[in-house]
Amino acid sequence: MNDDRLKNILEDIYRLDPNLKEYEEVLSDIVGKILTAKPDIEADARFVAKLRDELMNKKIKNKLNIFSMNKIPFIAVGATAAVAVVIVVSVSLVSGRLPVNKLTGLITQKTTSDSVIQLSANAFGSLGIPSDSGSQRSALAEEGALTADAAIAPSVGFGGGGAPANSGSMMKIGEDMAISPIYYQPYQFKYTGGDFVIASGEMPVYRLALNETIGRTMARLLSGASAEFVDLSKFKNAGVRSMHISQENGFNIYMNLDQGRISLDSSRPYLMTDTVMRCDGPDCGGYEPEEYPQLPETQLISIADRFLSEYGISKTVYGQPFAEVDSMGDRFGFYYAPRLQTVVYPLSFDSKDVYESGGQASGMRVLIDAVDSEVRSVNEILNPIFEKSNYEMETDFNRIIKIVENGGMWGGYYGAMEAGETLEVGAPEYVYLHQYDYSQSDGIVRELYVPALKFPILNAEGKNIYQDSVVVPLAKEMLDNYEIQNDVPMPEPYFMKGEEGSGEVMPMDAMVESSPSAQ
Amino acid sequence: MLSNESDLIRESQEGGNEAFGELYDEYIQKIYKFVYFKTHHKEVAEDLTSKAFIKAFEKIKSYDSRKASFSTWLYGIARNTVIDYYRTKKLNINVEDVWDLPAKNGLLEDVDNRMKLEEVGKHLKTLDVGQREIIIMRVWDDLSYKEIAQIMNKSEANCRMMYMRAVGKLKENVPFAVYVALLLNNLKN
Repeated sequence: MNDDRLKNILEDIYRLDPNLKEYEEVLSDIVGKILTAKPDIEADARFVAKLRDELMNKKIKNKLNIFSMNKIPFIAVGATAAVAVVIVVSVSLVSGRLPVNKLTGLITQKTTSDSVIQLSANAFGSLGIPSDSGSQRSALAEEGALTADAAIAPSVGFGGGGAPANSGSMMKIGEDMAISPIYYQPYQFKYTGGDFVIASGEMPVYRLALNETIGRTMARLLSGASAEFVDLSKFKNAGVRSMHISQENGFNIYMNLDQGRISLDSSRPYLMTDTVMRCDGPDCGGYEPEEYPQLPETQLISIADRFLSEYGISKTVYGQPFAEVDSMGDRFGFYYAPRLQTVVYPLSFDSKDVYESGGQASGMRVLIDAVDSEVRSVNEILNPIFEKSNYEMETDFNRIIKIVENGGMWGGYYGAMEAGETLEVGAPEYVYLHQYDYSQSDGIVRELYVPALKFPILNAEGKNIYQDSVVVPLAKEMLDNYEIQNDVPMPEPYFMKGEEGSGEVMPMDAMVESSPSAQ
Repeated sequence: MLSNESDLIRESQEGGNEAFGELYDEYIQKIYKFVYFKTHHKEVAEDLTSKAFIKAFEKIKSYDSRKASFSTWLYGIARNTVIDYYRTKKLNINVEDVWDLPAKNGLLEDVDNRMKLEEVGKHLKTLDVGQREIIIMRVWDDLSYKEIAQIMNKSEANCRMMYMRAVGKLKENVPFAVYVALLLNNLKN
């Protein structure tokens, strides 16, 4: 034991509390014992070298590479605009009598306490069947241009944009031209990571604590005032489910009190242009695509952080933010910087980020205008109060792998040019999966955050997919329900028809044999 | 801290793996020891240290030097990784580090250090988890109050207070016989 070290520690203690000097002997003995007991350890050299190699060979995620390159964006077409959650019951109906500032105070009073309410196990009831959050899609199906191989593709399991089976739509290049349809094959999946032990049989599932108190209290406030053409006090047991507040030359604020979330977007007019006339005269080629600069990620995050801080928007339930880019565009080299650029604050529980089924981070999104670096909208600001309840998790890793090698819970990824093209998935990490849970008892949709494993797709480079990972929930009940639903064979359609007036029926194949064309 | 640490961080954030490698070289032993002090098992410490560095590598672009020093950020990741590890264990109590574990917990501990740690464990287990963390971070990890405050997400003043109370509690829990023996020893000298 180093005597100087002991002396320094004791002097530090006496600076905090000089009275403790009376107990110098005792403290010297205890602190001395603690110092002596310090394990004399060093990280093993082989371990240090191996981990270093692993890190040096790691590639920083595709979604961030764009910021290390000086790519000149060649097309800038309108990016996603803010999506209002609900617009109902404009306050302007009764704004003449309502103290809006009091309402704002009421909302913030209820929504700024951050907490997690621990409930008993299985408190959310049945977790139901995992829902497709609509984030998975075939590579280009959302453009409606190309579709997957109809013989293999199930219609169910595709998010928005999936073409119906057997459509084999033609791709139009110009008004009169068309080319033969291209049928994509489903990618195969192969797990290439090592053994993985799912350590615990029980893990917490999270859910937003939907608090009706705000809505009911606001309704009482509203019922005390009435518009000239309707007496709101006559509507008993009412609750305010949503509100829309508009700020002149500021923001529109949409509050979904049912679902405990707020979104806002700029109410200042701004013109979204995707083309511009750069020249004049007979040699001018006409309109050209507008170009926008890709703002550096640190700058985007700084703008977003500043905005959230200025407006008192809590970040406590979110993890480390990052700038979102079009990963597929980046992989294929046709990435263009949109005018509205997004910073994602992923929702996070127990230091694990939340993802959608297709691997996108789930959370708050701040959209920033690349032209003037102003925040245009913020989506999914959640009331940061959650409930949590333990549920049984699947610990059989092989069961999870089977689902992964099927392409996940919601069918495969279509985009392979040839049959048998394989996507390799690597070792997983623990995350949370964002799930919608529809309750048949009260008709309310609640959102759950379920422990899951996220498997990275290792060879996504150059592949025709948007996703960079496969996310599979661990909740045993969800996996059981999924397998029950997917194992029940669909009955074959069996059309029967008999001779007219006879009341008799014949099986379909008999009809074929007896049809004129078969003869 | 490396003299060119901010340059290395910036290069790492721009995709420079080798720059991250230099940061790794600087901190690997410190983080490993920090994790080991909380787990007392070599393989577990290696596994959790790996996870912490991989997470740091993946999240390096979101590190903001205005919020905390790099070492504090790294220690924070390591600390959370250890907490997650214990939370995935099927235990009926809240465990954040090895000191919280009941006897015969079925989890692994190295034999070599067990004797030494058992002796000091009698004292450290009388403290609550926050007090114990601070004692270990001050006495074993030699971290400043500022660093400890950032890692534990508390104020510096709060950390000093917790440290002082922890020391006071350690002093109170010394067996009376030992206390008298020490006093008598002092009187003889």
